[in-house]
Amino acid sequence: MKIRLRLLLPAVAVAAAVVCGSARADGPKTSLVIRNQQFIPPVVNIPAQTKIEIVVRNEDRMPAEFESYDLSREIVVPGLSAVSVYVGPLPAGRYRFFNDFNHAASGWVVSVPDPKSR
Amino acid sequence: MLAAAIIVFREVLEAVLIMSIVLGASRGVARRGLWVAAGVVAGVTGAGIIAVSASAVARLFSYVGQPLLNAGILLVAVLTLSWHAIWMAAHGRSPATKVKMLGHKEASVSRRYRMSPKPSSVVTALCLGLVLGGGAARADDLVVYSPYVVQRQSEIEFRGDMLHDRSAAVSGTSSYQVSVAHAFTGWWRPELYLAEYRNTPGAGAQTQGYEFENVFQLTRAGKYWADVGFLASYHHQVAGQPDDIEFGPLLERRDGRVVNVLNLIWEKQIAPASSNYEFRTAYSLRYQWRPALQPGFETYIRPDDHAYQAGPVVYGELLTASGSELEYSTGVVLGINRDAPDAAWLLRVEYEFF
Repeated sequence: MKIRLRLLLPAVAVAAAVVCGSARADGPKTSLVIRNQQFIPPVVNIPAQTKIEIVVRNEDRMPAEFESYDLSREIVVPGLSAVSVYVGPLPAGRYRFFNDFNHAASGWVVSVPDPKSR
Repeated sequence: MLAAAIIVFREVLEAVLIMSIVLGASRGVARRGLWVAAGVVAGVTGAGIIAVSASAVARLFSYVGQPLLNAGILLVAVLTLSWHAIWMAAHGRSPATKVKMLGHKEASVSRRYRMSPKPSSVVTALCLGLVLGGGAARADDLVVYSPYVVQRQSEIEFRGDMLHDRSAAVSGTSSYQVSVAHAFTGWWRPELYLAEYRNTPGAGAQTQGYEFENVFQLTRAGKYWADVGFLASYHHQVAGQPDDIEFGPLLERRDGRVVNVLNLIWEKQIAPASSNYEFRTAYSLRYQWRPALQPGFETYIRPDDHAYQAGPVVYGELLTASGSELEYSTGVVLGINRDAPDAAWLLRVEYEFF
């Protein structure tokens, strides 16, 4: 199965669309800080059924890994830097996350039914 | 002797894989430890009975006892799987049956596990309708790339594989590569392959070439249904082979502890140039049971080489106190058609640090 260039165009178009899409205006956003090997705040409230960006800022020198089986995420956050991770849309409930590089640090994302209550 | 060792290793891998899936799927079910332990005991007992009676079975019915036993086991497997599929279709939707369903799944898997000590039936199942034979495959394709780039993270990686095949010209061929990488930004990680060697039975070890590879992370984690990256690499070969470029999207999606990674790669010769693009795809699925032990499998499809391979792979990561990670993956992908090597043993070790 030899593939000609024109068959690649859809793939290139998809890649381009994805890149352009990621540059679009941002949606709801919240932040989470790692300081002295703890998550601050330990409970992050987010609106239910909404995709939300969590900016995880690591203020320690030691790298961290924001990991959650409940949220299906695993993201390394280098020391003294920030990484964005998107979660949701989630049904109302509690979702545990932890630092895979230091299991002493953990927290919860709480998906709250009424967006105004956060 | 080696063949026996390979079969034992493969069967143990499979047993571990199935038990991990059962343990994962039955989390929260009462007395699951008891049920799983009972399944293991039943499996070991079944294997023991078959082993003890192997020679008696072989003599049965004028020495067709063994094929009859294999056929019987396969028939039971087909019936169990069909029953399972029908049962799931009928009962799967009701939440009230969820726990029952988990119990059922377990029963069906433990039945499967009981059969797994019978390697010839597993091999028979894998080889159903397949033609025997063997051919060479580009070994450096046996990897599944993740789309993620971690800013300022460096990496030293070793990848090796060894082929096992009916054809003496192919069997025993081993390849290995050593590479270094550093992510200068949160979206670009260049990687340099410092050594690419291939050791063929007749010719000995030869340098294959050098490669400059780039992974671009295009989307942020979780933003879309799957996270998207892009691979672009230039491969210079020294052994009279043409240089080539490779590129294509890298996709990853997670559901709970299940991690899916899919690569769609196009390859084009550029020196001397060819107008054709060769396509290949690589897929991996793993279950994050423990950080250090994540069972799964990999599939490689290379239509241009007429090569199709799939098999169990175990992944894991070991952490150091300073936030460095040692990651490994090892397994075997079996050829499922004539042009793929019968088996390719894989080992990858990478050290990631800041």
